[in-house]
Amino acid sequence: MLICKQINKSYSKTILSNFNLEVRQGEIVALLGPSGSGKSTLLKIICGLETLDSGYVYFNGKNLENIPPEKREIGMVFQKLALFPHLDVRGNLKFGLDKKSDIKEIDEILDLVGLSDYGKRKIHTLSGGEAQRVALARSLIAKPKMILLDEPLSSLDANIKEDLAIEVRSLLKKLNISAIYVTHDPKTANQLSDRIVYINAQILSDE
Amino acid sequence: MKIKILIVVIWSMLVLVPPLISWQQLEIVAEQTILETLGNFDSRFQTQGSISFTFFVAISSTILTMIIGIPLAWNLGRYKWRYHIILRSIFTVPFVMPSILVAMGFLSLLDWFEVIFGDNNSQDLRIYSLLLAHAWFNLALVVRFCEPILSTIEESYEDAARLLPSGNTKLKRFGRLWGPLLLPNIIASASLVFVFSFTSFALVKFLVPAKRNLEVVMSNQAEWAGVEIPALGRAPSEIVLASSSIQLLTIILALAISSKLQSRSQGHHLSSLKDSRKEVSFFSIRGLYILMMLIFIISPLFALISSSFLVRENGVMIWSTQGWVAAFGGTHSPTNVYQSLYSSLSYAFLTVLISLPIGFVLSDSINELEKEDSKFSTILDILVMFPLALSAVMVGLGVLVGIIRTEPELARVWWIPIYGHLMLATPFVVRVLLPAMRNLNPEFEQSAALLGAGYLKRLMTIKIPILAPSIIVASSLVFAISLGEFGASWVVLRFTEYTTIPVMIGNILSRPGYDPLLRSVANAAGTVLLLMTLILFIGVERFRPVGRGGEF
Repeated sequence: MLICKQINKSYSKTILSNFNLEVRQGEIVALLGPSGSGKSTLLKIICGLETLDSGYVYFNGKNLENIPPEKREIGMVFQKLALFPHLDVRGNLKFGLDKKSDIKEIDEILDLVGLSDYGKRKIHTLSGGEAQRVALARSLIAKPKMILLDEPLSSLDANIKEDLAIEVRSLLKKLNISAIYVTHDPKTANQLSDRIVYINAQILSDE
Repeated sequence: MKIKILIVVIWSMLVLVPPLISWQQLEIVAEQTILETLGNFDSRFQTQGSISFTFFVAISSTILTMIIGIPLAWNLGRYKWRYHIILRSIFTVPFVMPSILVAMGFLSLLDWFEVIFGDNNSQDLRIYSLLLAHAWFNLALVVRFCEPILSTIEESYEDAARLLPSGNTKLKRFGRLWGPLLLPNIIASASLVFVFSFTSFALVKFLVPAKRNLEVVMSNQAEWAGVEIPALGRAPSEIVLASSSIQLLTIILALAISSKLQSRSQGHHLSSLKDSRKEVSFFSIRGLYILMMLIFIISPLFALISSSFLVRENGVMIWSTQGWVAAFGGTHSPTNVYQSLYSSLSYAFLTVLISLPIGFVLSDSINELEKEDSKFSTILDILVMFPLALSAVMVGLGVLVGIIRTEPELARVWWIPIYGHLMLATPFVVRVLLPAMRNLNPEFEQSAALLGAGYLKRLMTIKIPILAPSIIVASSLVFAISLGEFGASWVVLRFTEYTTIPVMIGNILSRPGYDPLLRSVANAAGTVLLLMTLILFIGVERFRPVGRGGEF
């Protein structure tokens, strides 16, 4: 379970003010709000890529304050996906495994995201939807306890976005992984999540 | 298409004919084929150990340059410093410095070393200073090739890698993410560093006079190469023939291997146009590192300038302006600074005037041929770069043996040396203009054509104004290259009245016998050249397109 308590973050202006959020095990929460409302900043605070000014983040009972990002067991799919261009699909997925892991896991995860024959494909040859699946697979293969999705579907066409949102939801449910999905699109938020949290500049409400 | 093929043919003749005539002439005089001259190359006293020394220097210098250069490129590429543009300019200024100035800067540092520690003449110390001088000179290449990609690389790569098991430590991220991503640029810069260190002339000649690399060997024999002198036998021609073949073959091989490795690693769509650097303060460990590197870059230049005001008297250095007076009075060299500066500036202006239109037409042709997917684009690109594979001394030999010795009257023609400058500078014009032309949106010209503008109007009102910053960068680069050119000019000009400043310095440093004033005179002339190069460089940096590097 993730608990964010009274999170405050400012740069030149206040981005997050006394923000609170709880995500239960296996729950998918959509964080909905306009650009610049602090959605991505919050995700970076949760996974440790950004520090908070004040407040607490607890994950499975542990205060994450002094735990570096690589040890938090939280995965993230970035808005621009950040698939490494010098590696093929298999190479990108292998990046999510440690040395002791079974290499067969790559085939299993590719199967799971419906890209069984894509292992040797170069990243720049993938379509938008295929790249989203590879990015999701790369995060999942590292077996995180929670996954953060920073508008990864935003650049897709409406039809593909809808299909993929449903697929992502069913995949996360199948693996029983908690997730926070950041978006500014209410339709995708509805399709993908169990619960929507609105975030709007400094005024935040939880429904 | 026909005009472009004609351009390929004309340029090919310009760059290939003099060296080919030279090789033929050398073969005639040597009465041996190239392969036969290689047989006893290393057993002659003039050449003994030169092959192994050349390779040792080139390989060691490349390794040292990469060890110093990659961390510097990283710190400039991943972090945003206050006065970043000035910092980047300082770290890239060594590349446009005339090699003879670098040699004198490090010689002056050795003098200071002697004042402080009491010894500057041990062979090892001189070889270390040579390797360090090569690293100093070539550092800019590593920065130019690696910094732009580091500063614009997608910032989420680092974050994404950090959250995954194979990238959860700095070492793993370097080995599996940054290393492979930078590899093509590292290979490209390393191969050029190797080539420049392999063909180093002034630095080897003056820093380690007891040793000879192939370039020095060729220069020593240039005076008698290609002519039959019974007293000397065939040795000079045989030696030049063998040295030039080994050198050419090695350089072509190095460039081919580098090109192959690069093309294997290419195809990544790496960088975004967004600046992804993190702010960093000078008051940090990184700041201390940058300060140390600044001292490394500035110290030879500072030593050169300060040593021009120092004269050794009875083993003690005293402050004096005697060196400057002698340099401008011409008492220690066949020409004075005014005369040499006049020659240098004349050659530099003429080289810019001629190489710029040639380079523009060549770049335009390569660009158009690339669009047509013609194999001629690759051929022309290789031919454009060919003079760089020849090295400065070899170009000089091409002019001397291939042109002047076929028609001795040409030795008195003042403009003949420009030929060598053109061959050495034009490839740089193409390397600057071609990327800019590739980035030019073709719709600009297309819409002008639809509005009724002819070729010349499109060229004058669209193409040249848009390419103006790159044209200015290319012009100053050519001017600086011509101003500081030493190898070819040394071979062609050293006995003429048209000596340039680098040749004047070379003449002063090569004078036999001990004269305590000589070094100060050379340093004073060198300081004039240094100031001119710095003014040029600082003036042009503002025109360099942002985030652009890789091709000079």
